[in-house]
Amino acid sequence: MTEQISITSAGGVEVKLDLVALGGRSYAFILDWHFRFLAATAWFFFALRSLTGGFLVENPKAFTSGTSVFYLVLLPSLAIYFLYHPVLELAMHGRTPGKRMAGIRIVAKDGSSASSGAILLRNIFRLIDSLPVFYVLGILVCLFNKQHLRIGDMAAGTVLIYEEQASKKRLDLIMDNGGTHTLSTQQRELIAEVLERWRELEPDKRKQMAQELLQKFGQPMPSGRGHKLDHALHANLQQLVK
Amino acid sequence: MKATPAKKSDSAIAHWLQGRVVLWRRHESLLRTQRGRKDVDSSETLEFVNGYRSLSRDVSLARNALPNSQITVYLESLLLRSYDLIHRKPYNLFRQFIYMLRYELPQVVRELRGAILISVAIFMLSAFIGWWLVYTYPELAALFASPKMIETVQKGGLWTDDLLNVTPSSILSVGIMTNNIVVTMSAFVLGTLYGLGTLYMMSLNGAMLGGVFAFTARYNLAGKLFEFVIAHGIVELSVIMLAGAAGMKIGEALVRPGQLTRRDAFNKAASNAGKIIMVGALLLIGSGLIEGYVSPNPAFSMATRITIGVSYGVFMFLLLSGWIWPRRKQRSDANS
Repeated sequence: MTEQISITSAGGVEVKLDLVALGGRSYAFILDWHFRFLAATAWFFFALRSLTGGFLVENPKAFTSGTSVFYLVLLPSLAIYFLYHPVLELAMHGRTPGKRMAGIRIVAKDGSSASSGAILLRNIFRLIDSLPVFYVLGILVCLFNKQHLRIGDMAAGTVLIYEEQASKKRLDLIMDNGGTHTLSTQQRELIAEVLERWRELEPDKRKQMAQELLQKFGQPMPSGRGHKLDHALHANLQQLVK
Repeated sequence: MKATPAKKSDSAIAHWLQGRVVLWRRHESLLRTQRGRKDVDSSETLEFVNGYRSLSRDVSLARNALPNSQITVYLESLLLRSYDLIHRKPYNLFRQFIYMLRYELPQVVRELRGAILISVAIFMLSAFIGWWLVYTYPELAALFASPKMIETVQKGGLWTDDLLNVTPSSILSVGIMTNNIVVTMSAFVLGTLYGLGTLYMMSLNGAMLGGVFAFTARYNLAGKLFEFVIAHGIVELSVIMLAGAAGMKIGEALVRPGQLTRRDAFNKAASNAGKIIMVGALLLIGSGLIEGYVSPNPAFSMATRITIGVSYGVFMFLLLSGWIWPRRKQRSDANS
């Protein structure tokens, strides 16, 4: 079962937040690792080519002791790689590009935004979470505690939560009708969900679902085949909730 | 024909939704304009706060009328985002940092006084043991120094003599500060191993310092090494000892959590002591610059080196004790 924390808003309304387990963490970390690795590598080669006119280094020792090469090529690349997490987590209020793609975010254990001190602290503790290699210690600690926290999170008093991605688009789909049509809210929600997931569904499956829905609500069945029918079914469903 | 109760209730919900959806859309757009802007109209902020209160009521109603509905999920998400914006502390890193330096850091240093004394004692004792061991058994110098360093000292020179001929000061500084910051942070975070990791780091660093001085003393080079170390060493070694104290505090929280759970005690100790580490990392940037530009440069006399080292040390002491700031009554909030 997913672990949760809850916040209490004005008026005593309690809202639960799902905590992220090891899978969600790893997914976001792997995405972020690729982003920072690619960004650091891209900078390295871009700066190297700009400075030396090529990608090959004939004398690596002389190369690394050159001041301009050090400041323009090596240092920025290392800074991108090692400061990626603390800088972006501070700038994006507990998110990184990888965390955003995974739909997760760092918050304080009471559900409020994590402070800048807490974000820095959880990053300092990466030193111990990453021991001995590949975050083995962090993974083990994460596996054996109820809230799936690594040592850095315990030190900083932070947790990772899933950000609910309930989109305004779906609200618009359900509610954008001017109150004139005959479908109930639940029926409109059902159609809105099918429309929102249209591209993810198998063509045959969505065709069957759309035909069943149109038949159920007494709508005309479009004719045609293949893509033409697919587009027509989508358009008729859209018409139904409008 | 009479409407059934179910149809009646559905039309009531639809009516309610039609009435509220305009307000939710308005609240959503206010949420976007309020986020991260300083020039927002105060009336809009008030409208947003009032909207947040009525949104709470709407969530309650939606949960009853439309359980598991996407509308309820959307409203909960809107409520969470509003809660986050309203409860988020003002995000001004510079002001938060100044507040931390001015009020929180001196308090943490006072709380850690006992741990700092123990850390200094462990470091000194290890340095003495390292000195005694290497002075008595010179072959043990190989534990702390590379064969090249040993050979240079045996020829009557220090490995730092030609440092600037090999590496430019700027590159040297960056390398040194990075290494020192990693050592300091490691001494701190290794406190998680019930303080044993910190104890190991402090003992090792102390023994290395004592051992290297003992080895150079055998060749009458200890004075020269002292001349190299004095400008940057006072702050650098002090920060490492402070990190040791911070790490030991973490270890103590895990061994003796008191009334708190182990996790809460760990969180409290790490959050408090972490402030010293963040300031220590910044002080090490200064030390790294001194070690890259001043320490290996023979143009600086012993008197200049001592002046730089002592002045930077005094600055560190004033910063940590809070005496650097004019006396003023403590505010209850950094951003009020």
